[in-house]
Amino acid sequence: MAINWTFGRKLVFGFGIAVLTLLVIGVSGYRSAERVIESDRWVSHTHEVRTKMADLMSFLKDAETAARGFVITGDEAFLEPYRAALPELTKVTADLRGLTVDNDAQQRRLAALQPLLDSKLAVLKRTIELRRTQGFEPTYKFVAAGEGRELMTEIRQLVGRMDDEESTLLKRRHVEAELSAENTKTVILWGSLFGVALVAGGGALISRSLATQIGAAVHHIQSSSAELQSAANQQASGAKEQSSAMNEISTTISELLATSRQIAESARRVSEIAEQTATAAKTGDLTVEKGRESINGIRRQVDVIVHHMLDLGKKSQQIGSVLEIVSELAEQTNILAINATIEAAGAGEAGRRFGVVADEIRKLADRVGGSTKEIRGLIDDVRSAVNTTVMTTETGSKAVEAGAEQFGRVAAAFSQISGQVSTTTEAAREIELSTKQQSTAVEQVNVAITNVSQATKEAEISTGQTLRTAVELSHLSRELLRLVQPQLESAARPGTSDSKRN
Amino acid sequence: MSSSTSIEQKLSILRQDFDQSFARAAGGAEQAELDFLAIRVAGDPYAIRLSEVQSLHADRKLVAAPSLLPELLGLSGFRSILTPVYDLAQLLGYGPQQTARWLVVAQSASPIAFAFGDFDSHLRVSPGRVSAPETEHGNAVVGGAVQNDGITLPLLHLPSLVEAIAQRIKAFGPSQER
Repeated sequence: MAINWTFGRKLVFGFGIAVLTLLVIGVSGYRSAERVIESDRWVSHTHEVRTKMADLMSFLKDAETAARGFVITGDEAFLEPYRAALPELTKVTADLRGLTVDNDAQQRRLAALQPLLDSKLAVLKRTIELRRTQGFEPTYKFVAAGEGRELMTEIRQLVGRMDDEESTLLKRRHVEAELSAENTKTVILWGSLFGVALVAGGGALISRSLATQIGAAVHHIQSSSAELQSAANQQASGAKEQSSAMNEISTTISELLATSRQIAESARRVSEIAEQTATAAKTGDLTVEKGRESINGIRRQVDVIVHHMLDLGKKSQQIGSVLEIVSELAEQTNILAINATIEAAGAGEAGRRFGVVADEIRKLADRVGGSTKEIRGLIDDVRSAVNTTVMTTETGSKAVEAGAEQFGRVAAAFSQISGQVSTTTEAAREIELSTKQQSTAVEQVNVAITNVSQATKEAEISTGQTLRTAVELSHLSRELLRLVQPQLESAARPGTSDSKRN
Repeated sequence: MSSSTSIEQKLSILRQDFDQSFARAAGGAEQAELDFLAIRVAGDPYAIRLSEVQSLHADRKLVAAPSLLPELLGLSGFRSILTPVYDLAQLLGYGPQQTARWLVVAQSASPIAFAFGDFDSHLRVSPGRVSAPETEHGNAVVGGAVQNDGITLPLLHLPSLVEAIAQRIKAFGPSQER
């Protein structure tokens, strides 16, 4: 697992171990020194306590000596040390109480000492007062009673026990201080040795590991730089081909742009022609509409003609009916004339002249009959002509209706053509617009292709730089390998020469 | 234009003939001419002497009457005289005809009339245009012919028809006549 560690991690691990070792040694030394200092402080403390106790005894002796001198001489000047010792005693006693606050035994002795001191000072005070008021002899007797001497003895014994206690403590604290000093020396010595050994071993391991790892990495870098050179060569070749292809594409795009512009111009012309066609189609639509109205007028006129012709046919029938009456009248007149002729013939000579008249009447009747036949023939001709005309007119009317329907279909077709022409116009406009957009897009593509071509050239240049950089990288890797693994550098030379060949 | 001109010419001729009819003297050439009636029986043209006809009628009402003679179409009244009417077509050997609206009352002692299909015209022709009776025809009721405008009209002899009918009626006898 450690082999897979990174370069920085290994360095951090090695330096970490060294720092940790130094930290352990430092902490241990610090604590040992602290214990030594503490022991020394306690020793000093004990010395201070003993000094205070000596001061206590000294001030007490000063007070007793001053009082004794005043008793002997009666001179107030001998009381000066007595007055100076009184506050010092109070202060020293308080100091001792504070210095031994952690020692119950000493506190109890101080508690026992305080009444003795008070009694001793009270005895000294009464002695001085006696000397000052009653003179030497009473004072002498009072001193000779030995009360002050006994108190002083008790005080000396008690202070002596306290000093013994402090002396014992001092010895013990000396021993502790010496032990701490020994421990400190041991920690510093062995910790330093262990730290040196650990740092040396870790440095050797890290150096070896890093040399191996960097050597492998340098080999990889050499291989990669060789591959990079090969790839850079291929890329340079590809960039040249790409540059050539981009030039061809640019030329093709330029031709496409020219074609697109021609198409746009053609689409514009188509749009104009489509608009003209739409206008013509609308005009044609109006013309067709007028034509349809004319045909409708013709159809109405034909209907009127048919109506008139049918009316004429009816009138012809009525004439025929009247003619039948006339014909019958002529026939009956003829019959009457014939019968009159017969009667006239039967009347003999008397009826001759009547016969002539009857004969004329008969002739007239014959002529009327003949004229009637002619009229009937004419009427038949008229009726036949009327029938023919009616049939022809009806045929014409049907033809007009068919024409009107055809015209309607033509109008519808024209309207459809007009609509489709409008659609065509719109489509032509859309084509024109699309073609313009296409031309713009092609121009943009052309610009983009030019940019790409420029980028390709720059890529070609960059590829050359990459190739040079790969060569430099190969040299650098070889130098690095020589720095890291001199013994492997010679083995790596063939590969380097191969990479040079590449 | 031409038709109107033709009609005006006809009108002028009619006026002229009408005026001249008053100018002509009574009698004269007409006495030499003969009068005939041009008729059609079953579509065939025939001529009848006007002198053999008592009167000419058309569209007269016939009342059917039972008879032993199938040619009898019925009875009709002429000048208050009840007259039997015979189908001339059947008498001439044609089959029964659909229409026989024309009637001629023959000059006869007993009233008798004959019905036929069509009456063409009254003819007045010269005697030279009337041929002799045709005996070889085998039928006495038709004798001779009349030429008129290039058409030959067989001449019916109404007295012979009347006689033939009388003979046939007589042949049936009085009891059968009832």
